[in-house]
Amino acid sequence: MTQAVALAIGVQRAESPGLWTLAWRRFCRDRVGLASFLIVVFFFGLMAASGLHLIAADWSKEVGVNYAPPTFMGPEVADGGPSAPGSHGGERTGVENPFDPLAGVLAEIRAASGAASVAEAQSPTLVFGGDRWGRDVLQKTIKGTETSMFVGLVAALLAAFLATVFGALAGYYGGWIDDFFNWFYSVFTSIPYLLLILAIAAVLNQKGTLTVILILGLTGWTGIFRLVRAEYLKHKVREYIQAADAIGASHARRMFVHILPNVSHVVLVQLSLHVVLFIKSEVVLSFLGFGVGVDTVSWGSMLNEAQSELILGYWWQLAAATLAMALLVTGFSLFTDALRDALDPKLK
Amino acid sequence: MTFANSPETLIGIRDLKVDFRLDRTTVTQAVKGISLDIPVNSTVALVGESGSGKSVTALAILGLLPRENSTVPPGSQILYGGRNLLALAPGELQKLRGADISMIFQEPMSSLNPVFTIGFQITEVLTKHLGMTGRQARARALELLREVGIPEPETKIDAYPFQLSGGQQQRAMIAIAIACEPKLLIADEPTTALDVTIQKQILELIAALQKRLRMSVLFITHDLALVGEIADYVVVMREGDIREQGRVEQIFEAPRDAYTRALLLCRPQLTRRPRRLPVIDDFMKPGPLAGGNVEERSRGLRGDEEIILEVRHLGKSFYSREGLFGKREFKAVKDVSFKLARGKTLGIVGESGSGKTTVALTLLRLRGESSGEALFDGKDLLSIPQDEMMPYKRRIQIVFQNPYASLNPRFTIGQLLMEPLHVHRIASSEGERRDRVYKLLEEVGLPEVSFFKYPHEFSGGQRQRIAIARCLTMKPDVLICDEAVSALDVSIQAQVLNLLQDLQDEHHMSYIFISHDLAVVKYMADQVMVMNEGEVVEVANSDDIYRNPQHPYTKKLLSSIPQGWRGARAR
Amino acid sequence: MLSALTQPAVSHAADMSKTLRVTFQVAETGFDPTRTSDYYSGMVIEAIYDRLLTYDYLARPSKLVPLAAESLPLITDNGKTYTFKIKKGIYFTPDPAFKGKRRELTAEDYAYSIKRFFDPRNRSPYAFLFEGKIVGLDELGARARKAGRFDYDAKVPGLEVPDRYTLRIHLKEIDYGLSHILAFDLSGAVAREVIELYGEDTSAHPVGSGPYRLKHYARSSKIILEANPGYREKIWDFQPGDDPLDKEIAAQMKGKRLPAIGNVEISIMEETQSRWLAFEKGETDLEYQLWDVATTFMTADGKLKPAFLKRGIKLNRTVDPEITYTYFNMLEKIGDQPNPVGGYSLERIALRRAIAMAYKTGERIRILRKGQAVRAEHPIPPGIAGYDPNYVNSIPYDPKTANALLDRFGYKKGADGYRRMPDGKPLVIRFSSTERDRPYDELMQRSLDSIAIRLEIHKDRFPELLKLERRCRIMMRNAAWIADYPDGDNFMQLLYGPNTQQSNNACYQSPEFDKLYEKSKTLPDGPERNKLYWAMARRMEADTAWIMNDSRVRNMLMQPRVIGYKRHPALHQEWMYLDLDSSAGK
Repeated sequence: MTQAVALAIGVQRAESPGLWTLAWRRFCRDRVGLASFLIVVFFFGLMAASGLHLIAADWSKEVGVNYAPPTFMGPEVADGGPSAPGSHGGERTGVENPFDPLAGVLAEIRAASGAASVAEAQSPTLVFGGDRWGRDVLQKTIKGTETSMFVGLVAALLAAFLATVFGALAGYYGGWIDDFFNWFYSVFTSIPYLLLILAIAAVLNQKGTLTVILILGLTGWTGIFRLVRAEYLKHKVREYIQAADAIGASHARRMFVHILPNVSHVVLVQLSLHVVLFIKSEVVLSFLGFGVGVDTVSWGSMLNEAQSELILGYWWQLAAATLAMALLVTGFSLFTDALRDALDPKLK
Repeated sequence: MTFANSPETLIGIRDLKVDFRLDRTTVTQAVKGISLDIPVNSTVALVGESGSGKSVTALAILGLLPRENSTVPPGSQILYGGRNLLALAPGELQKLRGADISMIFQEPMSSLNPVFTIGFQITEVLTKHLGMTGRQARARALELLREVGIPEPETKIDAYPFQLSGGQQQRAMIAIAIACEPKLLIADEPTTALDVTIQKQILELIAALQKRLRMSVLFITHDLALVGEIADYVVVMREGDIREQGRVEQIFEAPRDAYTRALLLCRPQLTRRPRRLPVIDDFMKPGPLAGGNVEERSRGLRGDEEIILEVRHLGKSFYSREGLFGKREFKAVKDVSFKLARGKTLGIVGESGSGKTTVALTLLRLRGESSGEALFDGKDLLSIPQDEMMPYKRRIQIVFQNPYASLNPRFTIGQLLMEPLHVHRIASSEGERRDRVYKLLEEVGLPEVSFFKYPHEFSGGQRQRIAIARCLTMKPDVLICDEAVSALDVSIQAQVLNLLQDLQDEHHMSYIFISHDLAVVKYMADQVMVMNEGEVVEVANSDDIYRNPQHPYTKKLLSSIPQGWRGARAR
Repeated sequence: MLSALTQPAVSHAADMSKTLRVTFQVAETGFDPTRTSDYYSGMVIEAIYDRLLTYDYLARPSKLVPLAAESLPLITDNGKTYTFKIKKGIYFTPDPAFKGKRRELTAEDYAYSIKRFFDPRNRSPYAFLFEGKIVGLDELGARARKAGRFDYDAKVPGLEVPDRYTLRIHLKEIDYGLSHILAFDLSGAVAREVIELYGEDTSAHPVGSGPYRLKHYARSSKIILEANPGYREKIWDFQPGDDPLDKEIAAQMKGKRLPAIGNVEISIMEETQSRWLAFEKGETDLEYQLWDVATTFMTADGKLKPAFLKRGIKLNRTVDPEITYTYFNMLEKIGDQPNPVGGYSLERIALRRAIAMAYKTGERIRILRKGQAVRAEHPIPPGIAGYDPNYVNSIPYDPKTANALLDRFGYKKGADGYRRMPDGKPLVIRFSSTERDRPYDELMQRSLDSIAIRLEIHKDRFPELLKLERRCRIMMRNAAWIADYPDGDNFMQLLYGPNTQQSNNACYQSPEFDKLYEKSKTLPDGPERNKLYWAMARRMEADTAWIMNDSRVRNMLMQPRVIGYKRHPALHQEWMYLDLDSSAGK
């Protein structure tokens, strides 16, 4: 019944070009989707600008006093907390050490330099506040965007690439190759996701962004694999593949030239979903201390710091990281939704 | 309008319009304001090609149009028993469905609920509409099953749809439909998916039921020949309009509308074999009248032609797991042998399950291991190792049945046609390949600009042309057409058959033409091979086989072909 | 006429309805004195076992008093022989090992307990306390290591037990620290039958003669102690000093029989916030492990906030007898790799000095410690014998001079902006820490950035880091040491060359320092020894083996009903000296 209706409509459809243009047009009509797309583009722009050192290049400079409050709140009166009993304050100079072999050199240097080093002026307030060391929270948030998004994107690309190759091989060939990949997949999915990444992070002593990307990419391919494999199973028996076989196309050609374009929209949507997932995972990892190193800032490390700051009443770093994350994750998720709708529409 | 001499009208359709909304801006009119009457106790055939609006009309009667995107403007009416069905409340309409008006569909397998027994599905209608108790309903269901001719109804009543054959499923559907003795039975292409022998039986069943229950049947089909056998009245639709309607004898003997005439004459006839099949355009455009080209084409093998492909004792089995360690063998093809002459066409006919498609796919090495030999140009095609197959793949090609599935939806036509050139490294430069493709497009009758378009922008017939063009890129010696025109409308079918014939005349390709449609095969083939359950039943020149069938199965097949209108029938 | 106010409190046995609830911020490791080394396990061990000596609760500076011994030891033979008489009538708590008989504490138990430190099966991390001191014991230990088992029945000349209640220890040479060592919590007496019965599981089955015994033990989760019902009579009768707190405590506690509190319930809570909330809600009675959240309950000038004062909560502030420091690995090589910060050449000293001058100790105290620490100038912290309140560290915070110093000695900056070794090879400081130390890593990063030295952070779990440290494989790390006993020697031994691969984690080997140290061991606490300590500290600064950091302030918070608390610098816990009075503080 539905086919008759579809036929009735299909024959009369006016000229319209390929899948992507169609999808783009459909996409543009979805206002929520467009808005979220703009948000995503904005964040991409931030990431690119930050990566090229156009903005937030000096995020690690201590431009404010420690725990500088946001400008709209006004400067803080006291800082650092109560004093300790019996503490020696102030500079100490001129304490002699008769055994010091460097005494002469040091005296020369001090005589030559004269004035003591001038401390850089530190602002009492910053736009969105300062962290423990007086670093600008806004700049940290931007730099954190770069880190988190970069990790999310590259890890998602890695996972998607692996999953597509595995899924293609498993779905297309079937037999023992499929059995092997299914076993492999089962091993990975039987372990709870967070525990899996924590376990691997603890074993890999190397710290840093690259490690985080590897961990996430090498463990996160399973969801996409399942879908790609199903798609390949479905398409492999379609007639156009039989036709390709009849023409003489090789297995590899059939897998990656003929079937892959029909599967790419699925992969794209999954890729987008996984970017969001990995951004969240990176934040969790960094929050727990397994993520990026001390010389890098990410939203997760900011949240990690915010832990101990919050009880002291310093909430701005938590707010900044949370806001940025919420905005990106929501925007990206809505964008993924709209993308999926555009690529796989139902008649409205 | 009502028919002359018409008895009482059961359903009156007045100015029915149906619009479909494609997206926010586009609306298409599927039915553009038609009026017709369905009299009581008679069979009305609603004939048209795809997109004519016939199914939509039928759905509109029962209120089964998809609610999200279809609209029926207020001016339209469907009158039954003094009420406008289009304006009925859903609850009221529900009481009518299944009880007063029922419907059977084209695909019985997908129309029956796979998780319920057919007994349950029949009794459901009985208990809901007639208020019978379970026991009464079951007894009545047994009666019905017997009436529609299902063997062993006591066991079959508890069978699930997948346990029945296609024909039995359709019978079960009919049983459900007539359980409440409706006044109108709408049958939407009920036999299109069935083999020709089964088709005959179902048609007879419907006719018998119509007579016994004195109900009206609205029979929707695209096959005019069928119509001639069963209908009292005929309504011809095209693109949402009614072109002609009237009593069956008038339509067949004196069609007034050009389109009707075109439909009648575009089908290959069993009696004649014109050099070119007439197409719709021959009738619709001003010019020489119907049957322009009456020159006949002769077909048949003399016996001294050059043999290009000789198949000896071809066999193919499929294995399935049985239990834990067992294997069950299913012999799809058992000992098939034939010879194919250069430049000639071998037709393979048979019903579903006869193995004809398997023969083709096995020859192409698309189905794995097989037994027997296929001698082609001195080599046995079936024993060449896979990595040496490439040069031979070029020389035997295939056009598949389903034009919607055999083209990669993500490739442009250009890419589709260039693909074989790339794979076989034909032509030395990209530019040369492009030129070849353009020439081919022209040869199959498609505009050059198709190069950049996608398959979904073309109709079924056009897609088959593209598929044919794809095969031609490799200049094959043998072209296998596996039900290549079966899914096409009559008018398009004629065009494609003409094209195929032109190409054969031009390039001297040999064809293996597989079809279940005997008329088409007779038209196209020089020799005909009849298959049944994996075996060759009879092989002969096409004229001989139709005039003088030897094997009982062949006879049975031939007698099942709908003849069309053959004069006044006893009523 | 005696007034009711001056009448002493009525003596009674421990009140079993009272429970003191405290927390540990790290899980315990076990309660066998020779198989543990951490501070928290030590607290429980101190409460369960009897040492020969202990410290007077109120007297400051710390004063040794007898505990299981009848009196302070008789020291003869030029300080090489210590004679102890054990009090009669001290009994171990009942245990199946005693087969139903009541088991009295004897001198032999102490001899046995000391011998256990040399049993190779115990692998005691605190063996160094007794190593090289007692005649004949090291030799027996060496024989035990060769044989694989310790012969407890063999006679040790230095551990003489002439009669049931007399222990005589013969030292190889003069050691003024022995009394302190015997007052240290790990020196409590264990019963041989118990050890032999429980084999490898002694850590979970402590049987002592002290004020408390183990009632319930859920590993890493909860430890419940209950008052020893057979504990000998002990009355609170300490002499108050000048401190007004002493008088207050004396008024509350004088005459009471100890322990006054019947149960001690210890919960392991690793999160600061959890501990704070538990105290704040009244679920725990004592809490001091709250450095991170000090500002929530304290004002800028070190007093309790009014809201808490109103509730009657009490605050007691002392500087812990501990030092934290950042050490440099002083060896030329780490493993088989050259060590950029090791060695005693002038240019290496300059490198270490520059790093020490650039380390932001002020910020560390102000921001990371939240002001709850004092700068450690000298390896010996306040409250410990040998502490010098006037000592000022000779290494100032001066990044400008540090940079100039590095330039002077040829640590030129490369193309990437970071300095290289004078011979052109890359210079990377490998700093080791655990997962939770990120803020301190950041501090080190910023300090090194100010002198353009590249930093690499090495992360591992604490036990692994300790293992590497024992093999001198760590280049730089933040370390801490809290006093085992209140004598400066316990801190200076951290820099003594032969203690490398034990407690000397910098692997510092300076012949001049070692000579001074050995001399200091022959002197009792006094100005002469302090002069030596001064020279030793200056020597260490000259070589710059350590960057001195800070000593933390212990802010002990108490619920209003806790009475009798005064922080003792040497004792790990004060539970047996406390009482709970629900009418107090209202």
